[in-house]
Amino acid sequence: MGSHSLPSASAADAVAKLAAAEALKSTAAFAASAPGSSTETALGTAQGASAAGDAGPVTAVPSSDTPSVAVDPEAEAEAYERANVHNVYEAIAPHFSATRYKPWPAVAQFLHAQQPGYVGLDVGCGNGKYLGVNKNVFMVGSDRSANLVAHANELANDVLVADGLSLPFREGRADFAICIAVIHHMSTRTRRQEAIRQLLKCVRPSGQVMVYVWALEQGESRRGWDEGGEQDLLVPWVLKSQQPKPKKEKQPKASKQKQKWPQQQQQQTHEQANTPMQQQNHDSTEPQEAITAKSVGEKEATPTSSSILSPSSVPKDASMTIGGGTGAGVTEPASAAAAAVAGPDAKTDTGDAAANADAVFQRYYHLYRNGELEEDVLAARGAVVMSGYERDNWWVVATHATNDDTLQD
Amino acid sequence: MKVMTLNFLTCAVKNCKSSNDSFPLHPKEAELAKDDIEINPQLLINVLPRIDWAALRTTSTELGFPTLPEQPPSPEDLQSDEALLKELHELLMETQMMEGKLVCGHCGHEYAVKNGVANFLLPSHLV
Repeated sequence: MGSHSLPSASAADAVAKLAAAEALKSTAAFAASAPGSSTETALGTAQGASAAGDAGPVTAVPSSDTPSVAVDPEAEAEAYERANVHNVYEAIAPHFSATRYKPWPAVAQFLHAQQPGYVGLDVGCGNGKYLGVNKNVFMVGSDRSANLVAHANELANDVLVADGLSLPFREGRADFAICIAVIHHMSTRTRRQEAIRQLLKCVRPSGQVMVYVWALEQGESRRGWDEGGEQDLLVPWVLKSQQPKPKKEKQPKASKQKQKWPQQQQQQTHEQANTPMQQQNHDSTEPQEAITAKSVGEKEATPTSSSILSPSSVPKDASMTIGGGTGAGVTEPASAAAAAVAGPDAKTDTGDAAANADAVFQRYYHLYRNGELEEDVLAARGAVVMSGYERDNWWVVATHATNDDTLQD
Repeated sequence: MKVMTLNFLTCAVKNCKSSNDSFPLHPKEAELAKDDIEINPQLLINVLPRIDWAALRTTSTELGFPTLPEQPPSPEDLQSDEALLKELHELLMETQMMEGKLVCGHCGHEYAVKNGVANFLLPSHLV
């Protein structure tokens, strides 16, 4: 055993006291905050599954876009995601992390609705920006990217490296889980549904899982994606070769968002009383300033925006892409492809290809159409507690199907 | 990685999930550290019933601490005994496993812990 720094006298003292303690008994004070007594949170009592349709800007649901990639061997899908998601995040982690500091309002509201002492999981926690939102819950974060996890050092929480489809969490133990902007990186519908299934397995029978994904319907954003469009895309992340520090680059955007944020908080606090969350989402009229955290880096780093507005389309059959373009999710310049494979350290020398060459990292996304997320929850043997749309994203709060008796209409 | 977190972790290998041998994971060559973290009594008292006490006893012993009592303290005990609350806080929240390995008692796979972060990515043959 390794050494530990707890004074042994103190530890022994603790043992003595614990030994003297009587067997666990329920007290009034304790029962008041016990988990079972309050599963109906502000979120949980809000309106049901029809929220997505109400809140979204697009009501028609394209039906001809079900990916056919489910037949692909898992290994191919994994290899594809390794190249077009995992390697990219490892490479852009420092820059990416610098752009992730503001919680989504719907997510923050979900977190604040959890009871003190609840144990929560953040699967795909990235730089850990959600781990400290509610100081009265204990959260464990996990991410596939070791480099992002290295940015997620929350003193009061823990982070670990894990794959979303092979989670190391004891089943049924967590009170809640969140999975924000993660599942849209999985390249087959089977894997996306399995990811939700794994999340549900982590939480107790009445536990809730919030999933947040990028929407196909982004009519108010400048990306140009909307109903009926291609759902499987490679989206560029541009690393400026001449940027000394990501932080400096973010300065203008950061101050802009600061101006907006108090306003949103106010709104949110106000809404928390008893207004359904989707109302708030629907009322949001600042799609450009408070735009998805994702696009911040992209837009910022791409003055012309041309690559943002016309992202390369991915064949629905991911295996075609795997067969054709192996390796990194990087298109240009050539040296940047090597950078993504080589990992984070390589990005420092992307400039040697051409003096002003920016490294362009292509990340795979599946853009969710209206209603698709709810379908995936049902396929994962979950039930939709509520769902909604928040600035270019669909979200859902799900629980185990057997415990759901509020909808099913 | 906190002792608290260890109480919620098991092997990432699918076949191990249903086995009782995979929980808790066994620390090996563990180097511990103690963080100074502000105590949150309400969180701690409410967290107590979420702890698998038997697993915590195992982990605590394997980390070299004296054996914990068979039964957890009651919330009343915690509420009325500040020192007891502090001891629990030290064990669960402040004690960190910084280096070493976490070993599955079912399949024997070892997960590395480096700089306080455990890596649960599986080699392809275990996925």
